[in-house]
Amino acid sequence: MLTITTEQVLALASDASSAQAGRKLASPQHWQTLGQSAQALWGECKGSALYQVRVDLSSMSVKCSCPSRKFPCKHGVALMLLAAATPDALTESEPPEWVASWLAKRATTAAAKESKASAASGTAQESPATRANAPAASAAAKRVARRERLVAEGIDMLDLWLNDLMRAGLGRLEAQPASFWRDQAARLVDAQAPGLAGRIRAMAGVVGAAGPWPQRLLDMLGQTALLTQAYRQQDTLDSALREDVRQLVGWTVPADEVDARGEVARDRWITIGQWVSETDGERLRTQRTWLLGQRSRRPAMVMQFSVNSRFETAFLPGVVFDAELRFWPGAYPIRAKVASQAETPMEPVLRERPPGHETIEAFLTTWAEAIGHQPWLDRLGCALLDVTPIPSREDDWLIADRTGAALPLASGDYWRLLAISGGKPVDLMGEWNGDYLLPLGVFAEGAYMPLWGINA
Amino acid sequence: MTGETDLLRAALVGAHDGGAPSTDSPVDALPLASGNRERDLLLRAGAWATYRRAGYLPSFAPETPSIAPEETRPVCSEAAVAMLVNLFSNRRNDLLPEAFERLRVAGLRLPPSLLPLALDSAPAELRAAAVPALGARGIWLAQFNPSWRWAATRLAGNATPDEAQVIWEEGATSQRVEVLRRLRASEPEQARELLADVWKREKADTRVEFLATLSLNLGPADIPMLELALTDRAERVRATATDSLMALPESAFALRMRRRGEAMFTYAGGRLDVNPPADVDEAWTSDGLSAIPAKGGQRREILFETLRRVPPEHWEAQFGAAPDALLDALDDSPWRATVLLAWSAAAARFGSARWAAPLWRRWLSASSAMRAEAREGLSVVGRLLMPLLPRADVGAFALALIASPEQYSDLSLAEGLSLLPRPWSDAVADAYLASLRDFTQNLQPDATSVEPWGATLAPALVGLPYSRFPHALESFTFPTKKTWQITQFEQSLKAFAAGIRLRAHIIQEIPL
Repeated sequence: MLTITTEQVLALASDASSAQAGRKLASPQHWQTLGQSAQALWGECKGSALYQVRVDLSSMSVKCSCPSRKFPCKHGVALMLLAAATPDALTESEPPEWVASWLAKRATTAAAKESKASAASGTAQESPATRANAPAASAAAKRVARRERLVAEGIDMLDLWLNDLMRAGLGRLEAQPASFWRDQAARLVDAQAPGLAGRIRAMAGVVGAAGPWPQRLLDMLGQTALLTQAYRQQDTLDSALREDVRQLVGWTVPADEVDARGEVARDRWITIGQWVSETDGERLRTQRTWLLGQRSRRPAMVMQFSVNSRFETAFLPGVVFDAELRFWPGAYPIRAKVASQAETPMEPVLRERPPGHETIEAFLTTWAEAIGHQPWLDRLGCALLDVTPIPSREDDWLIADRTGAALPLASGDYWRLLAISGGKPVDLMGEWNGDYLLPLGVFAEGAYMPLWGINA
Repeated sequence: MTGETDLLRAALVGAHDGGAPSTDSPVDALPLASGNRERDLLLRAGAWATYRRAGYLPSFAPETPSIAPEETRPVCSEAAVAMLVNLFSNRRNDLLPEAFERLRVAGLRLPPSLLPLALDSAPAELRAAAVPALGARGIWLAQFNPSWRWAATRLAGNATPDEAQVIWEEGATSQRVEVLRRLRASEPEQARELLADVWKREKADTRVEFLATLSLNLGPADIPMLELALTDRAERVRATATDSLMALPESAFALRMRRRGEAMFTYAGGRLDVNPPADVDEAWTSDGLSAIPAKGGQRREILFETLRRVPPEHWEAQFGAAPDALLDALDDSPWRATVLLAWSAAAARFGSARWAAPLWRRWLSASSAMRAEAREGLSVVGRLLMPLLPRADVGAFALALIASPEQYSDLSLAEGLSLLPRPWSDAVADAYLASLRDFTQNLQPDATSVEPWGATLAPALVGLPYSRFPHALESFTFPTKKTWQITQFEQSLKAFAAGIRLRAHIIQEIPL
């Protein structure tokens, strides 16, 4: 029997409109042949045609015969909502053929992927010794050498540009057109340093903005200069920090190198929350899911990207699962992927308080240590215990801990959080970025509730 | 912290001679010199930013919100929550009242996480019904959001005496009214004294709202205050005062109204003659009757405005006759329609159950010309009298209407059905469903209208009793060839069935 909550299902919806549409269909009158087994949910939804909807419970993947390009589609959302709210409506039974065959196909594909993956890692280990791969390896080495050159030239150019900027003074920047920043960012993309390009693009949004923008811009320029300085001297850095510096400039770490160099941590991981950002003007969506180790208290962030609104793996906020995570190499490893998940079933919903910081001060100490290891760290997931939300008319809400210390929340309003707290302290989970906390989940009165997006 | 401004100032005007300005922090000691003054400034700014970022200091929290009072009601089930989300999202304002009413009767509340959605989506006409389901938490929550003020008003009702005092002195009018209403419920005398204290200082609109609270626990002791209000400059205040005074038979006002009415009647030999005056004097105007128009129809207005303020029972005592006898005695009167309407309004106002059925029967048997003369259709009179009618009269009316839907020119079948108290009786529901089925079955393939039945689905959806849902959900037969109007009606019946299933959900998920 499925024991997820309505809120968790809504968190899986790709956007508000499919959540809304799903809610409308989430009542038995729209359905026939509703059923469930240990592996799956299924049902046929009466829309403009009869759509066959099935959900693989091991991954919460949805397959529907409707033509929608959203994943999950409204029928999938509706079926899960129905199962969450009125499980009795879905009879426990053997899956019908159209469900069983899909499950079987999924199992075969998964097995194939796995053997391909292990074959790939096998090749990687053998590669230095395999003669046949030698020409390919040398071609790859040439490509890397060429890119090293390009990046180095890009950084030289950027540093000159930064110096010019400082000589002229920041006061004149407000008069610059958007192209001033865009062109410089484009040059860095050409130099294959997309990380630096992103920093320049972010500066364009700061100039002239409300508040003390010159200080903010100076901070960003300075940190960028520190980064190029570190990159120039990367051979003198310790190897873990060198990994960070190269990733921040824009070198990606291929999956096999993550496997080879990244550390592994086994724990019972709590999905404390997730959020999705969209890149302006592009259809790329980035999902960040924060996990917190129940034993290690360690935060980890799983990133997924999509261009058509489907994320490969569905992480349900508020579940606990036993897994090994593989971290991207770095001085304060945060980004991770699930390396292997134990067979033991997921605990559907967090029922006990998350491991977290008793005070805001204690969390900020962890933050300071993290910055000490990796000075460009831009975000950190956390669970703050016993904090009270303080509403505001101006979208600048706060949370306060028992000692009276306060942190600002991301601009917006948090009525649901306030309703859940009722003026009493709650355990708040979210992402701190050095300026404000983005609330992602809350634990109160023995239950977890997701807070981001449709559930905000 | 001067370092910060020095560094920023240097960056704003452009780096010139000299090294990077000091930050007065350990950052100055970092070996970051590059030999280029712009670069030096940048690197120090970067280190200084990182230093501040790592050393982020929390602010001091302003006062945290008060703690929400403990809930006294248990929360509704997860399935009920899903169902309510469905109703809110689909804006089923026709079905939400039943859900809220069942929550209220079952003593259940919404879970906190649903409150913002409920507060945002409760339509204005359902707000009063929604309030109990919001629980203590919802009412507490509403105080923080200006657009939820309608619910926060109730907070005044839960206030402690000290808090109530503060609200009374400083609160918004709606909150002050709530404080007064609460006090009136438990300490009527004290509430009236509170009102008298502030009476002269309040604006007319506020006086109207405050004065209206006296209708709760109304008693003879309120007469002096009400009579003071009857001398008010504002007509709205005077009208509010008369609304209460007419319900106090011992008041001078009620006596004056009775005397005026008595002067218009002569009852002798089984005949009730009606003779309203042609004009009113100063005293009538000061009794709040100035709404009477100066010309044409004036006598009718004087008659109506007087009689509607006198309890119908007075005429039984006055003339020693039962309602039926008095109504029969009116038969030949040219004023019959007006008297009937005024007595119907008075019966509704004073809850005169014994008058409801005799009045209603006369309305039903009256000619449409007479009803037209009363200037109000059956649907208006029905709204006045139906709540007071014995079940047998309601049933007889409904069955007759269903059997012969076009018998009243001023009352459609749908209007008639929406007058019925809900839920309908089993007999009425059965007759309705059987006739509806009959109607669809016998529709001519070329029919271009589905009235009067088409419009009845909305009142039937909210009126049918649960016991008849299975019957309502049985399929309907339609001609195979059909006009678009019939096709549309078929669609409406599908929506009707979906609505019935939703109601079944409401009833099952919120058991009483």
